[in-house]
Amino acid sequence: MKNDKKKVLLVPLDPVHDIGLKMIRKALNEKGHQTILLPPDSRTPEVINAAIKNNVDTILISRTVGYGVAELMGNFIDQVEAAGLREKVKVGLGGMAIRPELAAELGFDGGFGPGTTIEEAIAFVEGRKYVPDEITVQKNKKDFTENYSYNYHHTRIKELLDKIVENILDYSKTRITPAIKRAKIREEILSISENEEKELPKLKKAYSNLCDQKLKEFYQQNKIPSYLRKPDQKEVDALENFVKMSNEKGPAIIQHKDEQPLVFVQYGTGCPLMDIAHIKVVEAWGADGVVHFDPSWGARTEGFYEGYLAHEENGTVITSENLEWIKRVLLPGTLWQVRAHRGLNTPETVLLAGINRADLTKVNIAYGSLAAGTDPERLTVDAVAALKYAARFNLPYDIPTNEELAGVPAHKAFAGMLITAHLGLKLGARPILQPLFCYSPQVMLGGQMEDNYFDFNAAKIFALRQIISAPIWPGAPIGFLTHTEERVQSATTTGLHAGLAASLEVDAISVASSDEAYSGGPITVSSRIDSLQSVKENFRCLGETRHQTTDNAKKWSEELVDKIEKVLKQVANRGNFIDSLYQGDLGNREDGAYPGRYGRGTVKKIKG
Amino acid sequence: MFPPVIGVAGTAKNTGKTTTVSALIKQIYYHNMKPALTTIGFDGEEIDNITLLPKPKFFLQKRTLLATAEKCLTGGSARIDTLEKTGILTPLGEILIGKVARPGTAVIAGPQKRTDLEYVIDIFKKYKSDIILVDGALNRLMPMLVTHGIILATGAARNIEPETIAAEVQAIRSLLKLKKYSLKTDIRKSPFITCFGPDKMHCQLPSTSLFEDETALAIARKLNKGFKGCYIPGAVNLVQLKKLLQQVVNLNFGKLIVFHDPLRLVISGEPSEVDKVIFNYQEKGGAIGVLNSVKLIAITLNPFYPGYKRDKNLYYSAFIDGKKLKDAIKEKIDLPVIDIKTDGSEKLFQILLKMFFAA
Repeated sequence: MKNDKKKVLLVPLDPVHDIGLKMIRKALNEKGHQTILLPPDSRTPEVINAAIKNNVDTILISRTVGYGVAELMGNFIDQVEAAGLREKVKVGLGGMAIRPELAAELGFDGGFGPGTTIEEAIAFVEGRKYVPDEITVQKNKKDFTENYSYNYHHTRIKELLDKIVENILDYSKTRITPAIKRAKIREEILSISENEEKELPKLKKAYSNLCDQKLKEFYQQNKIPSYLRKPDQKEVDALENFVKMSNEKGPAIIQHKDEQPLVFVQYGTGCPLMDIAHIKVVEAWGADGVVHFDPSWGARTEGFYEGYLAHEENGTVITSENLEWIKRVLLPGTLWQVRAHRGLNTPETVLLAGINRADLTKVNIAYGSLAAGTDPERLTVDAVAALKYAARFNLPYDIPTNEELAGVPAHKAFAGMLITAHLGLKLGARPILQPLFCYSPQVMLGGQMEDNYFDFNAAKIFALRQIISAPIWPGAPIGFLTHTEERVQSATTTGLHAGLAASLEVDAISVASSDEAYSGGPITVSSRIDSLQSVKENFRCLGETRHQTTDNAKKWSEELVDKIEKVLKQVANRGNFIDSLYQGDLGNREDGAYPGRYGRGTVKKIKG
Repeated sequence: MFPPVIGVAGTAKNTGKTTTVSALIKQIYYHNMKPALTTIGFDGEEIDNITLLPKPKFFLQKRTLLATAEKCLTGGSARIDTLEKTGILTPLGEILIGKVARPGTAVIAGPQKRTDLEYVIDIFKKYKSDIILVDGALNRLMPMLVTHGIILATGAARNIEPETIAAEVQAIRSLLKLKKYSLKTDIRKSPFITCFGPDKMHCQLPSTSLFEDETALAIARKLNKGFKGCYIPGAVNLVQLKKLLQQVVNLNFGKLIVFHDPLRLVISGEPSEVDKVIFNYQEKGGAIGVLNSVKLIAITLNPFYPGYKRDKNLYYSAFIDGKKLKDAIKEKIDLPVIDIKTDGSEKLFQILLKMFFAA
């Protein structure tokens, strides 16, 4: 029977550090191999003698390599060869500065640098090919809404929401918008069968007639605007290669404990090729999900283009083909969110997200209409349609309270968020609450974060949990407005907010790259990695421990709940949700909120 | 001896091995010859692995053969077509034999062991290269046994004192000049240390290498008791070599000690000290020889050394007086001494042509 147990000589040549070899020895012994550990700092003749006398199969040397030490190792390998051992004995070198190139130069069979696992060293000894953990890491998608009952703990708030949502549903039942019509036509276009293809031109014409001028020209005259272009074949091929290479590496896990939040990263460089490259990088560094950012001009435009289109500014154009392309390159375990929280195309966005098998979408009437420029009436009616698509395609949606960044106080933003949440619940969709972890204008004026960033953010979570049992996904991104241009500071504050999120046991977080707030230009891959690494370290550091807040957190959470109720009462009493948006119940001019203008006057009553 | 296999070995890192090889390759192209190239280490990286200072790369023309690790194939700008696999594994993957299809720079990680290098050379011969170059690595020497001759690269990176460098070169030269002996087959093929006597007297010791005091004393005892000589096939350590040579007396009858090759002696300790110990033994009347000799063709020198700023933990480029270094070495040995950067490589190439290609 062939003896596959090895005899390994372990040689700590570093005068001080032999802990690495001791750990390897333990693991080797556990696997039945025989090990001989030499005392630290042995000389070459002693090592070779020990190798000869013990008839070893492998020599593992641990040594930090600096200048001069390289020659020592070179001489060692020469002596191993001179002693006639080189053919029979495998020699490996491990230490802080070791890389495969250095091992090759020194003449060793294997080089083990920092980050080498014990498993890798064992595989070397056993003559097996080492398959790094990353390739065997399995990442399965998590539906973090499934364990929530959506039961209300606060009866009065629930009753108010019932009243408000009933009004919204009544209103929108009898109204239609160009976006809703376009979404219906789009669905027909995408579900057309082969023998119905002759209907396509008619459908596209009907679609384009509901669009803005530039889009009409696109569909009817094939005119592509100057800021869009089709990627060429060379770019596409290069990208396919890159994707294939990155997928070989597989995902990474960023959480230290299973229950720590999922980490989402937003992309939207403008170019689907760049986006895909960024997505692959963040997947490899542990991101659990990616969020599609579309261009801001898209929100002001009636209609979507078609085809694979790259774009020269921020935001990647939404077309079914672009979305399909991005979906195709995602790893199976990566969650994908396509946002539909503002603009003139929200129903069609959710439809496309659903058809292209996205995992999540984003809807918020208050933010979209008060701080992102879309007309309140238009966005409300569209949102009902969008939420119906979300329910139909089983896409949970989060509700970002980004109007806080404009200056709207949290309690008003949360009132708006709860309305959109309740609306979705009534339509069969599953909302996710997205309070912001940010240094908002409210806080700048109110001083709640003068001492620490944790209390007020925690108060938000406590408040929401007092009202309803629902998933919570702080954003957007966490730590917003605490970042500076300094990369380390930026990554650190993101990481610390991630630690807070984990401590509060929320479901997910959105993180920015360390140059996102201040780059003023393209976001770099390295800065994306900064933030992910910082989050990872914070998760690691936290483990099962929890941050402690002061009494302020509880106090502020109770105040928030009271104030939310007051706002909802005001909205309910007004009796017309859309009016409430225009009149500032959910954020007024003084707060910094302005009802949007895009799409004003485009909502029509359905005849009959 | 065709095609010639030339090794460029160094006394340390940064002594100019790759510069010498690069320069020779250019000469080879200039003379319309087809080279085959490999290394026993790793060549072509942008910056030094340890000092982070920039390093020379190879620029290769079409039809150049090379043996390099799989992961290095796309490391440079040259396009390399794979001709065959070798089955030799290195930290950078399997060694492949390739041919340059489009000129450019190349990164090479080659066979590290002597037997693997021999195998690669055999494959090169199959493809009819005109000349085979083997770049060294650091101060590693042993695989160079398979070459027909070596060029020794040394310089300030080894030691910043020209006299010290020159003394070492002289010592290495002296060791490489040790007389070649032939031994009977059974002695020569034995992996163990064998003492041989008059007639057919033989005694094998249980060791293969001269690493332990016990072994040194055992050999000395045998030689003093009447054995004529001893063959040490394995490795040697200077401490034990010294002990052995000091202990052997009655040298009127020669007392020949044969080693497998002179490279083993060069690596056994500081070459100057090794040479001194052997010289003393020979003065006493003893004889030292080798079974296989290694030809030393020329010396190339490099006045560069990586200076170290301790407070900043940084390396920077520094130089000693190149002419002074050259003169110091030339004074001590009878071989060509060349500074590739100032003298060019034509002279060195001519020496190779004369040595290996003259009718």
